[in-house]
Amino acid sequence: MREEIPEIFWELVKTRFERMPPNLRLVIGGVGSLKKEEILRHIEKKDEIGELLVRMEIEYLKLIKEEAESYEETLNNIAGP
Amino acid sequence: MRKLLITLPDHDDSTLYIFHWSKYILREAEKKGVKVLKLERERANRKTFFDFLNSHRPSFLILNGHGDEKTIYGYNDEKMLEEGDEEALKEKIVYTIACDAAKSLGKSIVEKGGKCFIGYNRKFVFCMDETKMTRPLEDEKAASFFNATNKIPIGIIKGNSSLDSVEKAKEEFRREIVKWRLSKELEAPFMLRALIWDLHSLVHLGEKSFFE
Repeated sequence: MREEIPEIFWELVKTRFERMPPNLRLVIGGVGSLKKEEILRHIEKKDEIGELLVRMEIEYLKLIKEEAESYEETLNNIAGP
Repeated sequence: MRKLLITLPDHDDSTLYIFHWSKYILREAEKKGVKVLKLERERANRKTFFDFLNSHRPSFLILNGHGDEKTIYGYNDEKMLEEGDEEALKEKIVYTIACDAAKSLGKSIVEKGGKCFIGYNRKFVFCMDETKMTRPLEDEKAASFFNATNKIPIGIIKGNSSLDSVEKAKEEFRREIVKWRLSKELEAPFMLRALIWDLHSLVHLGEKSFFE
């Protein structure tokens, strides 16, 4: 069974896409090219596409976290014991 | 003579962009003297695909179009290749941009004798600029994605191994991610998320192979 997505992520992704520039479209293979309004509808419905967008956000956040940890490790190594 | 078969449906925004960005793959094939079997538009269908496979025996297949875990579709999303067809792909290198195809179909092709299968195990996503939709090759947003993924077929045509070509594509995705991290454009956050998603979805299944 898939993990349930916490509400805070849905809110975060909705806020993110509310700022999407009007000229930009996100193309999702097998779904089509989506405009901002269409994306926001999928997020509000919390459907399969909405979930994909949330998972994209989670992957991005994980990468940022890993990078931050790696910088911290490098800084600690430079600083020494 | 090395032979490659490429399917090029163009029935929606997504396939139309892939159709145009494939121009660089075709250009490289021509440069290297590869015989190209092009199944454009309506010709990207199951019957023509299998007729060409049987009569020309290409060793490298580039399958553009939509997909799911068990199927790759051709023009107008007609089923072109599905689980059960693996026998026809023995000893072949297969590269596809079709969504999810690496999940089950790709594995099955490799298990049943395909040399290797390169594709995406989730949905392939990209960004496009609405103002460039009639000129896809001038779309700098889409270029970030297609310049990366095109490294795979272009590398294989150049004579690099399938594994090295996938690594080159991943390096290009990473370069694009760094570029967009540093960008102040309003599109940057969306570009970044989509590029990271594709980088993590790209897989190489099977042996390190060469196009012979």
